[in-house]
Amino acid sequence: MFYREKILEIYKNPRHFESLATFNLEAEKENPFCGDRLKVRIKLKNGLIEKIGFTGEGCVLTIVGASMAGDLVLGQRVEKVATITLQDILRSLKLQKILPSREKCLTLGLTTLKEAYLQNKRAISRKEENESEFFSDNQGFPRR
Amino acid sequence: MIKRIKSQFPIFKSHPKLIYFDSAATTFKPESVIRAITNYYENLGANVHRGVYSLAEQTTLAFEKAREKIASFINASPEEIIFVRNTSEAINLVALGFLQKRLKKGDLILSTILEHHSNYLSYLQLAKERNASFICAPLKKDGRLDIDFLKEHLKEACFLAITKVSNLTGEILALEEIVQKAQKLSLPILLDAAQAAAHLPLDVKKLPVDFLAFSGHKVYGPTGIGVLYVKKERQKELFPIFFGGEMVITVKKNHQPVFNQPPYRFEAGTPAIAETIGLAEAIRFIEKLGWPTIIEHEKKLCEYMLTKLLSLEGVQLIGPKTPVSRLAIFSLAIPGVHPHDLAQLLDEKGIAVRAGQVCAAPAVHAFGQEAILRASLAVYNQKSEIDKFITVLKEAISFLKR
Repeated sequence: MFYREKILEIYKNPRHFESLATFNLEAEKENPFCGDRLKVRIKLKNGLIEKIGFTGEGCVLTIVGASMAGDLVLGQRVEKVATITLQDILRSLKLQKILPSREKCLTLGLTTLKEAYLQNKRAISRKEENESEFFSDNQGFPRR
Repeated sequence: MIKRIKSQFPIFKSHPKLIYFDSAATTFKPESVIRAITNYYENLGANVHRGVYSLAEQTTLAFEKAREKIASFINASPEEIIFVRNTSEAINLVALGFLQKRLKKGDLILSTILEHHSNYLSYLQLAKERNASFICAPLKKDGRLDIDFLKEHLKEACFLAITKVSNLTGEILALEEIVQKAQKLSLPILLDAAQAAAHLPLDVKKLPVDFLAFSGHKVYGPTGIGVLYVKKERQKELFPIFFGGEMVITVKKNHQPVFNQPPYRFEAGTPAIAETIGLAEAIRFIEKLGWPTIIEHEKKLCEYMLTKLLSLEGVQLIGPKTPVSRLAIFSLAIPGVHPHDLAQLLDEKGIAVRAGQVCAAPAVHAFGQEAILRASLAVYNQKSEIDKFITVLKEAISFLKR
């Protein structure tokens, strides 16, 4: 049921899967259930998400879920990331539900985006404390 | 013959088209086992070792008869059989009630990279707490375990934990020599027989380990009942970790408890009575079929599946590639195709397989994988099911290949 043409088409032509050289936010998350791992980099412009780049391997649902999560927040304010849910991703795929055991696959991309957003939020509050200029739109997030 | 075996399993009446290739996770239960459980609830129903009325006596008798049957299954005495929930609990009891009491800083716990998390995590944890070492025998190039590694480290070790059969690769480990050597050194050995018990005979006299653990639900028996065999000579070195009813004879007026004898000392609280009786019935099921029939049938399935899998392009078989010393457990890696996707497509065609790390992450990683697809067979499987599995697998792979 979940492997209808549409989903497989997205899987074979995933969206937002590229390695961004310049970016502001970055995070990596693993699905402990299967060891799948996604990394995301986000490039911001005036508080809006200008570009999203996922890297990593995953099952059909991981790749498709990340593609859809990317679609849902691209061009939006970065805060929007926090509001997206599994239901939004299901709706965008015209699915009612998936097996509970596969929900973590479908949301790995979203979880990774959220982690990047949270790191940003924490960094901003740090910045306010330190009044440092650590984050700015034209400055890449330092590689670790 | 095999048709008749399958017809003894009511699950196939509810799901006549199901191809069940996940018996390493749990086996289905024959009707006789289900009937034995129901019979307890319908006709016995009392608690054990407590009442003086006749129903309680009958229940106790049925329960202790079950213990005798289960003991004979591994050629042990009934007093050496401790009932627990499952293999994990059995191993935890040994880790906490035996190993923890003696483990000192700098000691060495010896195991293998093939272990199920059950026979791995307890020791890892203890080693961390006590600043002891925990080392695992690695794999050889042919995908089998390097048993010689264990031989080299036996003298330094204070405990050896080892599986009889890998739940990832299906390899049957040849342990006779290592057990003999360990015996001479009085090195305590725990054998994880969870994956072996339904597929090959176990004998604690021929393979004289100190501890042996297996689960009821993997030998055509109920869930919630597991077995820990503790060799008589080791029983006084095992301390109870659960306290309560039945494990104590009395508490004196000065609050001094008088603990019960083994095995009762290690069985606090009301046991899983129905499940224990059910497990004894599962063993009767195995005995009725007989080991030669079971082994021959499963060996044929194993050889057939191996030939089919090894000729599949783009499919990597993890572990031994010859039918020698292995069970019908097959773990596959298919570059470019995710095992979870395959499992889901197989499920849509009525084939149940496992995908992921099969509770053996260290072993999966040792083979350079993150997740695999596992097909594990049992006595109710048939050649025709392997054909269907291979056909669907091929379709699914070409469907998912990018």
